[in-house]
Amino acid sequence: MDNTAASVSFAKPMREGGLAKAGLNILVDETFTPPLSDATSLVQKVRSARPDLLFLLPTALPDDKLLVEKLNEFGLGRGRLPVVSNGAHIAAPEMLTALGKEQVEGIMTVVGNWRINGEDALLAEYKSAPASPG
Amino acid sequence: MHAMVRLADQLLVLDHGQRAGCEVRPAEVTRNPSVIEAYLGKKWVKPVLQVESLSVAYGGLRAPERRLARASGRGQFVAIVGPNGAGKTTLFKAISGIVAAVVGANSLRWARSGDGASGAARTLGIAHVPEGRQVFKSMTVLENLEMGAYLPAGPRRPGSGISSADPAPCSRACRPPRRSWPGPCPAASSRWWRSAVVSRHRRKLLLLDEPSMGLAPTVADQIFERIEEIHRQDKLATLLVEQRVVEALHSCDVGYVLETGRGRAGGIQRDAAGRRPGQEGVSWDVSNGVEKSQARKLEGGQGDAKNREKILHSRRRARNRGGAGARSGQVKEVKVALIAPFSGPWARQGDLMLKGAQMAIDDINAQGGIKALGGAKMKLVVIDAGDSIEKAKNAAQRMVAQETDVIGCTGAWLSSFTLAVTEVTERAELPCLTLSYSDQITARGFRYIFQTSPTGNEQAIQALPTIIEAARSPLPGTH
Repeated sequence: MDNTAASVSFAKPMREGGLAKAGLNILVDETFTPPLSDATSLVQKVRSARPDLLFLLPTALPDDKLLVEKLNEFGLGRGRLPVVSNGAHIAAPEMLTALGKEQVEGIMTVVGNWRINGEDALLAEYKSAPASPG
Repeated sequence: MHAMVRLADQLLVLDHGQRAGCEVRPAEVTRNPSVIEAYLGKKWVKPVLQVESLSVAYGGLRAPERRLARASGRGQFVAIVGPNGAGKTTLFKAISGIVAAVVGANSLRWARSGDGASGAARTLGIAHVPEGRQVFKSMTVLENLEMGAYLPAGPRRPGSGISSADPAPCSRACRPPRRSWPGPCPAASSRWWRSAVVSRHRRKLLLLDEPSMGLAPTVADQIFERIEEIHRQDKLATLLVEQRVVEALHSCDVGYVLETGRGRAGGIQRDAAGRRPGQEGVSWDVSNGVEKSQARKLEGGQGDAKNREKILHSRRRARNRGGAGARSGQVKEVKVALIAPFSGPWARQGDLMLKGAQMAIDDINAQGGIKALGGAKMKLVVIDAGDSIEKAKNAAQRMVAQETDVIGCTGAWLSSFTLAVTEVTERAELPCLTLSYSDQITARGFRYIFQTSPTGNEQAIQALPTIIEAARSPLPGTH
């Protein structure tokens, strides 16, 4: 996970007994400061520990890409190691275009929001709207 | 002197051809240390530090000269208040030698050396607690304390005197175990470490730069209580810079108001006998002169108190347009701001927010604007929060200073940015709507922040059973 406030907030209840209550042990607990320049050492530690589940909690799109790319490179991608993230950033269309559908296969994410009336129409309009500059 | 004080509107005191004291109001003049020394012949307490005029340059940008003399006598508590950009932090940096003064370096006078060498500050017993919440996260609490106590010319093991008896400024709940890693309450605990070090090593002058920044009001109150305690117990000359004007001026012996590098006002808050203004014989009160009329203006985040008041006034007026103004159709445009990262690693998320915000505003305007305001159109003001917490906070300060008719904002996508931005918007009484996740955002007791999504904490608790269930079901084609 990165050390931004959202990731810290998401990890807090899990670190403070949430995972233990669910019968899970933490094998690797690594925190980095964004942006990442290289994800090799982080993913290497994950692979060495051989976990059954990975909570991947970056917040920046470039970090998402680096980490998912490296997980695939180490043979942990495509659902071999279930990956759960927090936030919609990791499911941004840019991940699909930058990495391809094979590499992003199996990534799960938790997004907190409330359903609203007319949400489907809004989403369709949002998707069809031209991308903002930049 | 008493006759003169009663008769005159303004009073100047000369001492060997030089003017003694900078005040002109008779009641203030009589309490000025320089006047007492010159006129009555009494020796005032020798100051630990005296700053008469000072100018600092950042590259080609020259900060204005500080004309306000301020002295911190032995054991005196001096508070300097003022809005962002007033030069408070720069003054501290110049005192402790972090930045070099281009003019007036020799005006920094120290009781021990009598020279103006800012480089000597380190060995003169100055403890500078800088603004912000930086700690060495890879080091334990005790190691952080030892680092804070380190001086090149000090003892080989500077932290050896640190004991568990050092009191903490915040509650027991915020007090981290000494052997633990920084984490549960980084902002408050970092302040505690620093003040513990300072208290233990009996520095001669304590410089505290906005110790309440980013803290919950209750924790900030505890910090102020602890500062007063350190000052009272250790007789430590203390120089405090704060934006929380009321608390700072309540704690201090002498208060100064700094505005864009220049002293605006100053005076004695509590005399040598500890008597406060209002008591017999104590007539001048910096809090009467400054606090009540200007404190709230100064707590904003702009470089000018008058502007600050104008901004708050225009913002309140803009917010209240839903009344008579709306009914009479006076409101033509309602401005809201989007503050989000449009540069750096989080730029893509900022773009997506902009797309959504613009779409919503276009939609409202296409349907005839805000009906309750007589069809007023909405306008989006876009502010780049940048790629760091500092930049996000600066962007928010620019927003509240320059976009005075903005009635609300949304942002700043990354929770860390939102925490910084809302420190500014809260002071400016600007409502902020955020989709950021951190539970800290709405746990600080702020009144002008609204969080639309469940907090990260809550999301983790709610989602964990589903996550585990999903993880147990291998994807088709795997394993």
